[in-house]
Amino acid sequence: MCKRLSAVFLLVVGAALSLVAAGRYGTGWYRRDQIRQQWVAALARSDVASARALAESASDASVSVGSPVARLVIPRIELDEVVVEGVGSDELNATPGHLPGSAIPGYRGNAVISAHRDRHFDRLGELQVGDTIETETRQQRDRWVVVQRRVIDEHAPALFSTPTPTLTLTTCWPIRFFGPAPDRLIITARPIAANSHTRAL
Amino acid sequence: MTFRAACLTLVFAALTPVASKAQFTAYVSPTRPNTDSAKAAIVAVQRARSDSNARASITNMKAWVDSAAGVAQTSPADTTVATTPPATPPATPAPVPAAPTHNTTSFSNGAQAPATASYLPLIAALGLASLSVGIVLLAGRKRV
Repeated sequence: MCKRLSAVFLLVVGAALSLVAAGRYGTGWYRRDQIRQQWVAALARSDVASARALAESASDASVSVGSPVARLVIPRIELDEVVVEGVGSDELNATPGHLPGSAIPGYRGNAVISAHRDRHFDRLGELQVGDTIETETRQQRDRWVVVQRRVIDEHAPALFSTPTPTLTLTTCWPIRFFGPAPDRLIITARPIAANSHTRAL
Repeated sequence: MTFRAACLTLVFAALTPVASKAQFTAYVSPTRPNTDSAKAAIVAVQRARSDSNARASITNMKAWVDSAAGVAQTSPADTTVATTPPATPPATPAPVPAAPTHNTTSFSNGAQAPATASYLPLIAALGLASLSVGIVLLAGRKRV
């Protein structure tokens, strides 16, 4: 009797936990598809004139949280994701998030993109110095080269202002870890060539 | 010891250092420290108090430190100093910014990396493990 009760209890608890996790992952995937569709639609709508107008008014930085801001492509780890504005729980559950207040990728300043280690950045640890990254915003495309790879404590200062365009990718470290990972993996990249169409925000 | 042996000893003692480029030195034994440290400390304090030169230098040192720290010297006789506020605020140690522990939601220079840690993998693993153990237990019971 006791054994049967234990088995039923484990089944119920296991089913509940699995449903919670599956629901969270499923919501993230559904939201990710929605964001990709939004990104495609936004690209289709924006022609050269509107892109220029948007670039001129980009200083307003009026990107709402949850809306797509860029596309991130990392060939080495076969990553191709649309990045949304914000690094809250809902945003990171769906796609990589762009840290509000940081630069838009390709513009002057430090552009920070974060994602979970168990989802979109699950292979970020394979990235090495010298690997290339591509970003695409509504105004421009940029290619980056990884120049630094470091692991720091979660409470350590990690993000710094830069006078030149910089791309910073962050996720938790170690990648394979049960529970909240205690460290952060910080990948820093610089533009491969001097970007003639880089504009200051 | 005979006179001849004594002369030879003296000559040997005089010439050996020359040959070895050494020299005679006179050893002066140091004064024995006062074994009663408490008494010695009291004596030192009394000597310092009675020594006007030492007292003056200590006073000057305090004034120098205060002036270097930006604290205005106030004197009851000096009304101008007493009525005018100090040019600079009293030097207080600048508060050391504590490392913020809240989640980073917007960019700032020196900010922590955003909180990307999540319990979701752990929850999924625990759920699958519980399900597996429950199924094994039930299956074993049916087999019995």
